[in-house]
Amino acid sequence: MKQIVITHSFQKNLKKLRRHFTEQDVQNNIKEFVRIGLRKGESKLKTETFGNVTIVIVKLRIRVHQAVGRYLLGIINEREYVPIFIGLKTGFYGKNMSFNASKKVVSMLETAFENVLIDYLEHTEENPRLTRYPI
Amino acid sequence: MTKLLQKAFTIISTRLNQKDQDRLACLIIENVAKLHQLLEDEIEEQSFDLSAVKALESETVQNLLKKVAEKHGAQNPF
Repeated sequence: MKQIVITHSFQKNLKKLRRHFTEQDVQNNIKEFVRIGLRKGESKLKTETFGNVTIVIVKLRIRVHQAVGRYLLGIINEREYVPIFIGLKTGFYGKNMSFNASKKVVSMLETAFENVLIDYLEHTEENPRLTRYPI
Repeated sequence: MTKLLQKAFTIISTRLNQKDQDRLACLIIENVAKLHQLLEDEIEEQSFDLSAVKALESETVQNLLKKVAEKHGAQNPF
């Protein structure tokens, strides 16, 4: 069964954008992605395979009223959909730069990946660090 | 015109037929006012994507992904 997995770290990330997006908005957007696939401006960034497990990272768009954002989503074996980082598409990440990665953004995204993945790994029933929602 | 832009147009002229070259020219002329914003948006988007891939390739993230895959595999055996 397909599931959306929302970690505590992602909830913290989302809290900063609570004026624009809710957790329900993100869940609805993921469900739409599962139903119709990638849309304009969305892309598959990388596929990592470890034994029988494949993790695909995609960048998706989210639009709620006037707010336009984007988020990174990890897809584990096409079964678990784990949002990793969400931000507004304000031009902050690459303004006035060339077609290069930015050290500041890389570091910010690395931290987001680490926090979400650690939540996933350390989650237990006794010490819940995430919530699962069936799709 | 910069040398790089000249090079870009030379490449385009070898890849597109005359009809498409004219279409591209019309598109550029008609949208010349929006070009700067278009470039900014595209650069910003590509920069974000490259940053995300670089973050993913870090040793720490790769180790964590491996552990996540192991945990997922253990919880969802085939």
